[in-house]
Amino acid sequence: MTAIPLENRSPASGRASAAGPAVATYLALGLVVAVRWQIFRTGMLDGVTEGLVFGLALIGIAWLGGLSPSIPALGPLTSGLAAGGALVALSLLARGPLPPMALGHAAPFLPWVAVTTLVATGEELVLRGTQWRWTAAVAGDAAALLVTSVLFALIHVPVYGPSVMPLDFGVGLLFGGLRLWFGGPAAPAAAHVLADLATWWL
Amino acid sequence: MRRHRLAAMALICGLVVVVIAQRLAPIGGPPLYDGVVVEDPYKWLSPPPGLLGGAQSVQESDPVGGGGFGVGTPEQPPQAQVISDLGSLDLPEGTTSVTVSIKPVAAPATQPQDGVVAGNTYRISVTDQHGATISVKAGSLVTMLFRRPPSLPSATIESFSGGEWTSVQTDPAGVPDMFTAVVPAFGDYALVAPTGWAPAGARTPPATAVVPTQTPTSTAPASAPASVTAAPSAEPTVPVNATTPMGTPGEPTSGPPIVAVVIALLVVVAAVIVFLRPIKPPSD
Repeated sequence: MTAIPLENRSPASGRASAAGPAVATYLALGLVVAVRWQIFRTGMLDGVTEGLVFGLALIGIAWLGGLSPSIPALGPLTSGLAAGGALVALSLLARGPLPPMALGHAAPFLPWVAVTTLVATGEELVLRGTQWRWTAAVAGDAAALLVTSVLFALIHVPVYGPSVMPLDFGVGLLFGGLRLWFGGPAAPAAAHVLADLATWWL
Repeated sequence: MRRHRLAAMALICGLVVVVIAQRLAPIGGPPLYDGVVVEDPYKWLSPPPGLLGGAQSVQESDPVGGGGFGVGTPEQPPQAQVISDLGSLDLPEGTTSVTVSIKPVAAPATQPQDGVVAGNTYRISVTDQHGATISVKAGSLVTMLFRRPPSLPSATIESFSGGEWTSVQTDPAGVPDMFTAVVPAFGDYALVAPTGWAPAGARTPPATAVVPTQTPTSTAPASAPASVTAAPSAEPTVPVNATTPMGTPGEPTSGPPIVAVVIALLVVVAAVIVFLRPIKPPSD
């Protein structure tokens, strides 16, 4: 695979050139989610190792899709953390008077934090990073927002069940909004990491 | 400017969908959106060979002043949980505290007609401070959650009463491996798998403990203080009847060594890095 200078082509030609990589990243994500589901279903690996494998695979997809590492600015990070905090607060406010379902973690804290951060960041680098760019190049930002939000909901179904789809679709839209506003995956990644890490205490 | 307008719309729509989803279809608890959930291996009361025993019970006393209770067995995450508000219970006059007990018991001799018991059968009971049984108020419901053993593709929560199993409406709980149901009574409950299911990792056909149905035991000492106790349940001393067929087609009977899997993945990742170069996406 080689670089494709889209800016030197006509819009139609650019869209056609971007369609292949867009589809390739979707297929790669689907494959990785399927493998994760198989690992999860059979109990082949413990949770931390499974998360590590899944996270590394996501980073690999993002890298192969052309996302190069860079140091994010402070603004997107702090805004993302604020958005993540808002999501946690909303979740707490939505709780009824009954005690919530108990979900203890059978893992040491630090490895869990590391792997959770890796998985959340990996999902954002793929969805709001690589896939967003290729999809937007083919069909525009609105399509990228919709497609990545739907995918965000779908990739969680195998492990968490279909009941999480409405919530995760809404969160996908919110993360997409952050991505659009700040022009990169740093803000949604910060929000996603914070919301996921909060589950240790909630 | 157009991009910021779309971003603002997405942020607002996202928040609205999140609020509506959490009000109309709450997932019941963490995780909020996703995350890495690390589970203890499933612990069996009567483990098939090669699988872990040591299923635990729990007993918790709460004063009636509280709004409700959520009690789960000590495994991480709990293998069985019950959540209820006190208004759903038929509390006798003078009740000052309720004691909730969840105890794995040997599976009844009768198997469900529509499948096989998957994992432990749990006896869930609530008593008052004198040990008198408390039932669910007519027309009310309580929530139960059960964690499935590994490799169970689907399951239904069923209750065992009057010598027969009855399925109840079962849904995924929104967290990995958990199933939930709202039920009108306490009693004996278990996850029931499709016929032919057997747990992955079992070396030989799993044993199904067969005992006569037991009478629920009273667990609450008089004037028990608010406390939580948990202890491994004793293994059944009854003969086992290994009748469940072994292994779903295509289901591994044991996972490959983790080291081999990790090495294989590292080789694949290294090959990908060596042979593939990243494609350059358009800039924002």
